[in-house]
Amino acid sequence: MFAQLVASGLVQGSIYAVIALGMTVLFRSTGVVHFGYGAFFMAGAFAVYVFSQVVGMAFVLAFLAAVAVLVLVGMAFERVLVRPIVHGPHVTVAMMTVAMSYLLTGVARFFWGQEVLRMPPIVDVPPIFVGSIVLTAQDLLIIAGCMALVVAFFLFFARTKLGKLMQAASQVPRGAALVGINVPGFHMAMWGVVAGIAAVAGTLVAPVTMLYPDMGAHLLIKAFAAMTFGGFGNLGGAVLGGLLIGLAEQLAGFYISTALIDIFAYLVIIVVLIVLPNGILGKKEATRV
Amino acid sequence: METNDFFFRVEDVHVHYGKAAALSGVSLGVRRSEVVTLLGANGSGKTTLLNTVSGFLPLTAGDVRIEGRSIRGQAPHAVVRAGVVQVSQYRDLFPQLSVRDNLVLGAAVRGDDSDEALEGVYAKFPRLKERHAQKAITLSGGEQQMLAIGRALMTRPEIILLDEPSAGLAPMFVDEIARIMRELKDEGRTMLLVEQNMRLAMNIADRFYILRDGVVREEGHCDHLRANFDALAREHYL
Amino acid sequence: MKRMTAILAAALVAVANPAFAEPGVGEDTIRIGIFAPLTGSASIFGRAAFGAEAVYNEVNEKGGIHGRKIEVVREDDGCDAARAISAVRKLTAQDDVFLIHGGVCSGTVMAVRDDLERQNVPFVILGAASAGIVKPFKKNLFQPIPNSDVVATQMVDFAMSKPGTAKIALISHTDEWGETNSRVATEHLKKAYGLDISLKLALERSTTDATPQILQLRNAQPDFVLAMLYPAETALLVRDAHKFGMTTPILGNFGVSLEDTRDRVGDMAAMANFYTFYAYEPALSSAEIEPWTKMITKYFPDHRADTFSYEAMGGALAVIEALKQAGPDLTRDKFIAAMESIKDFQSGILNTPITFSADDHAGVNGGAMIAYRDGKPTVLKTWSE
Ligand SMILES: Nc1ncnc2c1ncn2[C@@H]1O[C@H](COP(=O)(O)OP(=O)(O)OP(=O)(O)O)[C@@H](O)[C@H]1O
Ligand SMILES: [Mg+2]
Repeated sequence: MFAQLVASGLVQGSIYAVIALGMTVLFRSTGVVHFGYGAFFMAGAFAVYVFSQVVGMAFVLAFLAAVAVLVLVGMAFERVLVRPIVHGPHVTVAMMTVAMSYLLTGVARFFWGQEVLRMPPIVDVPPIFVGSIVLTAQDLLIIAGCMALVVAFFLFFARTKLGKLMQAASQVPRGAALVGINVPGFHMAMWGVVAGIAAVAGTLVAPVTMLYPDMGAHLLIKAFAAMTFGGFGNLGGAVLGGLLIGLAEQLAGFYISTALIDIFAYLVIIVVLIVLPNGILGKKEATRV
Repeated sequence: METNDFFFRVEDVHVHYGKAAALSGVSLGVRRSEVVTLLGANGSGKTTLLNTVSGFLPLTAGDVRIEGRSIRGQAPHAVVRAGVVQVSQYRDLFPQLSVRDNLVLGAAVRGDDSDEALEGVYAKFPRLKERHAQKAITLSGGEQQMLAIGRALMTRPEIILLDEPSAGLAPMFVDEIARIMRELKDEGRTMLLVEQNMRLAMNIADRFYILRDGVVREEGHCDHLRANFDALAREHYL
Repeated sequence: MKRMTAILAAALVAVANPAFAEPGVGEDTIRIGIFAPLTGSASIFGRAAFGAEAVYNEVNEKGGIHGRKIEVVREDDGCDAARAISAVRKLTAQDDVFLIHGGVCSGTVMAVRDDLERQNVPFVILGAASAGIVKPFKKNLFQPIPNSDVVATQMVDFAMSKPGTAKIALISHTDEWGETNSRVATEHLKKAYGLDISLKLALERSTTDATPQILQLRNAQPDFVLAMLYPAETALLVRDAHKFGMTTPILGNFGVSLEDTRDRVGDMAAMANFYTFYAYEPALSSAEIEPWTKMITKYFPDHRADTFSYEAMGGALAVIEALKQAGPDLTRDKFIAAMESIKDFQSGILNTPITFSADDHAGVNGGAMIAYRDGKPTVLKTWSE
């Protein structure tokens, strides 16, 4: 029983982790807290649906097309909606991301307000039994896909020059510009990248959750909780936070009460902010020389 | 004065902060391998001029040219790529990155072999080599200034704009900075040096400009500055 | 001068209402207002509006009622209380309707209910199933569909109709809707059968995983699971139950359609132990429901009929019956009296007859369950059927 809960918790946690990862990457590289990221996730899922089910493309092609579309959407949003106000107060940009969320959700509602769409599983094989644990192939794909994204981004930020540049650019945009980095261009690229992450997450998760215009809102809260738990802006913290919240929901849901599952994320946000404001992995970082 | 041999020139630049004019028709020039110092009291517009050249501030009128090409209105990164790099008053280092990473990122955009450039900077600043793995934020003020200059050199600039490199430094470091300035000048670097420290500036620079309330009030060779130091200092700094 | 004015006024009234003073009733028309969510996420339930309108169109084609044709004015409320208020205001003040057949979301109904009562406008519910709508009693308001109390009771009765049922588990949303349904089921189980719910679980809206719930259910081994859940979460429960090999029958609520659940679950094998409340006589996608579907698509060719499309057709037929009984000199009071006199009205589409009385306006007091049997939707009044 415990093992099953852990397994399911890891699947759920991976989903939270990847959404939290995308938001953290954007926050780290542009300083923007993206309240519309849930809607990006939704848009990614719908894009895959449209390409595979409506247009009729092969799954892999549909997936690539969806990622490409989302990357473009992310970049366009940065260029058209964020860049003109980026020097204004943070709250203005935050409100803009909320507006993005409404915009994308509104578009989805316009076309699919009526129905909940089912996305066929990526691989259609019967559930797998590992001892007493049941896992579907989709579960394994989610864990694998999310972990691959997480590892890729870790390596990118910690090991590559470009990754370091991106972080540098976000921490000291002026300094980055003074070594010839196109900071706005970087930001646009990062908006594209995180929108692409959202498309990957949407693709992995859609067969499990089905598609509806508001599907991202719920995940956004979990992702916030994961980020807060792990230390806002901390890449490893977001991932660890996501996994722990997934696990805790399952265990608390089984051993304490199923009513706890959904409020767990909120509890985490409140408790962590009060007791451990920098999260479990957060440390105070001086930001200015 | 012969001006058509200026390699870098600022032509009749006007800059406003909102409605307030910060620069009202500033013109100046720097020849290749020349060190020119820009002097002036606090608030006279020196930093404003450098930031305008670097593309951080929009200009309302005028032009900035390097080798005849206008870089007016270009984004900061494009200005750097055109060969004009600034070592700013706030240094703008990457605090969480190591000394080495700060330097390497300086060469990132140029894309050429940074190892050689890196060794060149280390040769000039042995202190930085010793501290290559240390985070920038943990360096002393003087070391940070060295790192900022080193990072600027990594971009292989045509002209370096320095904003008060000696400001706030202990006398030992001021001497060190003066030595570096002279070394750079002897290498044939082109520099526009903003300084509060008139003595330091006039001992390094070839020519000077004095700014007051956003207007150039005085210009000439540093010999002239040395000869009339007291009078000029009194007139423009008080 | 005074006389002139009086004559003029009388003439004006005569022009506006040639023979009848009653709003919405013309010489050869009766105007009916419909409001429902036609757009937005609740618009799947709003499909009921088209079923009702089709029934009215059909009676028009057969000559109307006492020489009058029904004119439908349709408004979109987006399941939003504020929009419903303005929609109803438009219908009563501007369109001057005789009666209103509307309301799919309980919130919108509650928002307009008192106003319509004050104006004595007959208000027939289109699809809102909350039992709270008819409590407290309102003279002008009729609910010709099974309401939430009826549904929760039917779910319990169905479970108990299986010989030997002793343990019933309940899983519910923790919102008002879920709690009310749970309470009615719990009370009915206690009162009628002397049993307590053996295990009560929560499943929140928008959840994407039901592992802890299913594992708890698997441990507790109840005979039935009553699911007071919305469609998406019901599908999630059914899917995860199948994943973990749980074979306990799951009973779904009104508003959860069998076909829609199958589409969402995407696996026929997972549907083997799922039953859901069903209000209609003919089974979905059976030959018997075909004429009803055709009636809708005749007037709305683009309409993709599903469970909710038929929801208000029984109510519309009851309205027509009452209009007939009220006679040619139609007034609102006569119509309300005629509605109250409707007894055991077999609509042909609802599986339970409609009955109103002077003090009870909850018109449908029963229902059935539907499940797949040999791959075909089959209506079951009791377990052993
Ligand atoms: N962002 C700003 N908004 C409004 N006014 C500004 C701004 N930055 C500078 N100023 C004003 O513009 C004028 C020139 O400032 P600037 O920083 O260029 O002077 P400076 O010559 O570099 O002085 P210092 O020697 O103190 O560095 C000053 O009056 C200053 O108050
Ligand atoms: Mg200054």
